[in-house]
Amino acid sequence: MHLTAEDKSCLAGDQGEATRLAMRFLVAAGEAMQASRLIDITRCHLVGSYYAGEADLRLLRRFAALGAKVRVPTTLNASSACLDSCSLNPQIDQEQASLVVRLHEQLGCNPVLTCAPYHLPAPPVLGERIAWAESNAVTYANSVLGARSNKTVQYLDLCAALTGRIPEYGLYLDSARAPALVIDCASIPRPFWDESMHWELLGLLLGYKCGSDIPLITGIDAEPTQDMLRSLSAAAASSGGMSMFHLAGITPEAPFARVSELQTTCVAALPLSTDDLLNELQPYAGSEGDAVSAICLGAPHYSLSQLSRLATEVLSSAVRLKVPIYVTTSRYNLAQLQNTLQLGELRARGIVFLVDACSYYGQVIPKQTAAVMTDSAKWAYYAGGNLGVNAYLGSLENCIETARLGRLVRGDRS
Amino acid sequence: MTSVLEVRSLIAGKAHGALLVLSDGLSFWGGLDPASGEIVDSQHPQRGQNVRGKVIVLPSPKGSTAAPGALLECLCAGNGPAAIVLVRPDVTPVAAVLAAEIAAIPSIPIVQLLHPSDLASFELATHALLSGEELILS
Repeated sequence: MHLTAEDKSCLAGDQGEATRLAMRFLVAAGEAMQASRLIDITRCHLVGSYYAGEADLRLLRRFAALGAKVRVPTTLNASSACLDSCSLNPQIDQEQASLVVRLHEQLGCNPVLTCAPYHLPAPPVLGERIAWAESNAVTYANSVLGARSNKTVQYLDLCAALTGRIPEYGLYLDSARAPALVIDCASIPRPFWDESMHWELLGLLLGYKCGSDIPLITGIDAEPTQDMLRSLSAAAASSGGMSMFHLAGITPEAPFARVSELQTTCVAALPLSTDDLLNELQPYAGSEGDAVSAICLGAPHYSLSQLSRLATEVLSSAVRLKVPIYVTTSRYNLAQLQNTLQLGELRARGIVFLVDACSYYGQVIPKQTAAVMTDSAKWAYYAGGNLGVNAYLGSLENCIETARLGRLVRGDRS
Repeated sequence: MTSVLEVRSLIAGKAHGALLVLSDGLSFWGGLDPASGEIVDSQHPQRGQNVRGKVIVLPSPKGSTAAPGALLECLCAGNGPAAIVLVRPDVTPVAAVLAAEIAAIPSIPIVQLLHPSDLASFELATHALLSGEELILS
């Protein structure tokens, strides 16, 4: 692997022991992945912000003791526990998670503790090389923002932050961003795409059909919101390990003028129908009237627009919720809404706002006595295994109606 | 019968042990119990097998970006494999072992098969000896 004079200086220990260790890590990882060089990155988002165990603490303490500091702006992903005063986690979870966060703060990381870093001010831009680790955020950054990142694994992300460098392989290279297959949605009528839930279902299906291959999605004549593209990113990154998709005429690297060029690298074309997408709901459909003990929203962390929509819908009726709605979001988003939304009123209705963590981790929400409904395919996909609950997937409107009745409402909308 | 395979060394070292050839990728986070070394992923074909002290063969990358942390905990607890043989390049176990070196936790070698077709040679073997760029199966 080619190293610059600066890389060699880091490797020789001229810039301190912490930088030497981080650079040695990057060079070994780069050689393993057959990268030809290291490149600069502008920012990092680290996955190791939750309590994993003693070995992880040992590594963080060593870097902290050496006075290691990040060289590029570095944010932290969601943690294993909520750390604010509204936390429902047992104290031990909070103490362990706090320790991991504090050690990262000593290294200069910004403890935003969110899995949706693209909602923070000044998100990455087209062509920007970044090292993000959270899978939904990587898919969103590559696809929707046109920034460049692999799914940077734990410790590679930290060493990249401590040096501002990363091995150049995978999605940093133009050649790796070419699509491998066409997903043809031309038979699906335009109004179908007005419903956010259908983007969740498209994401699930893409993940299953494409795995980690990059699809070129064609035939969607619609103007999806950022929230819809976020749903697509998160669902596809859950069910299939996807890191990037192209949406013809919508995502920045697939303008209509480039579509025929992009098609040249595709080795297959798969037509999708409305029924194909609606079938993805079956594992999470449940039956009208099934008992539900909670609603979980916010995987990834709810956006400002999603929070506003939730507030409008809930406050449109005087009915108090029979079962709680747990909403996970970032501290940043919640602070933005502190003055504009009637948070007190929403809390009185039965909405519980949780920050820092995800509600499908450990004991972030209380143990459930019945099924849980969600508007997130990612949440539905992971909650069964993580929490051992039945998850039902539905639109936000259906989730709120279900919360009011305490029984599953499906209605006409999926 | 003994066979000698060419490998590319990703993390240098020597190791030997019983072979455990996995027929599917293993997600270390959630799929491996660090406290025992047992494969606990309910969907995995080798569920219930233990990686501790074995030379494990991984056919393909799998799992979340948090997977290196889980393998690191497993190595720290002394329940990790003796060596890892990759069929395709995978940064996850490499990151775990490089992190172990920083945290002063005993490291293990990682190699990649130079010829993926060599995977067939593993069928009759029960034991592996790894030395430099050679993997000796018996």
